[in-house]
Amino acid sequence: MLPLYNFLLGLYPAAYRGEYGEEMLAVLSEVQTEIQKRGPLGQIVSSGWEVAGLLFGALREHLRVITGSAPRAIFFPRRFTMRSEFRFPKAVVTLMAVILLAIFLAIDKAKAVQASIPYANPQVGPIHPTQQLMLLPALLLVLAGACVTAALGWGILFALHRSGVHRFTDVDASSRPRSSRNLLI
Amino acid sequence: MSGGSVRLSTGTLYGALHRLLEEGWIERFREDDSSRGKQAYRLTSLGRRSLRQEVARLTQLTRLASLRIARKET
Repeated sequence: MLPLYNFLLGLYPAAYRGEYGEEMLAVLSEVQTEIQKRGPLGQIVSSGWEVAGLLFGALREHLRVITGSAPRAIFFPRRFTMRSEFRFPKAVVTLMAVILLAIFLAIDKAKAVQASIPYANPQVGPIHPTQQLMLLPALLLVLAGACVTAALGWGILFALHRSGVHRFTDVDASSRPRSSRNLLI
Repeated sequence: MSGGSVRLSTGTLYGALHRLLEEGWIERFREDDSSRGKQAYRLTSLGRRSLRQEVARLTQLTRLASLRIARKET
């Protein structure tokens, strides 16, 4: 197994490998000696555990190099990190998935309605220059709407960040007044 | 130490060590008995302070949980 472990250590970023590679290989060698004392099933499980740990670790360290922070939120997504100071709650993903599903359902429904009344809409002729000119203000309006929505969203996120709501998880329970403790449990 | 309840693979262990070193909570040091040929780590004063705070926080939480259980039982 040691050649495999050595190969997997090669998957780590060079800087990490340079700092911990030799040490990790020494530990893995010792672990492997312990593993060999176990039964066949125990050996498979323990070796698999080590292999998975090395693969996971290599991926984690590469992500750390790319993102500049420990990517725990990716693998243990209790929260999704937008920046180190602000985190989206997990429910955002569910909400976005629901919205996407609703969009697809609306498209399907519209297609069904269109198919059921084929003659309701007259055939559209060639687009005249005046109609093209009407498209531009409409597009600008949509763009302005999107900008306003984005500004509102940013304002809400900024206000949440300024309020310090995201720091509630770091509050030390021991510093809370006695009267509020009963409410927490 | 954990009686087998915690199983850390080597990859996971070194990920944690790397993070703790970066945070300045542990440091490398040279052991007097270097026959084991391994790198030794120890808590820094910052790490010890953080650990103490964490122990206090967990103690508080377990105390509150115990109170809650005791209240339910009575």
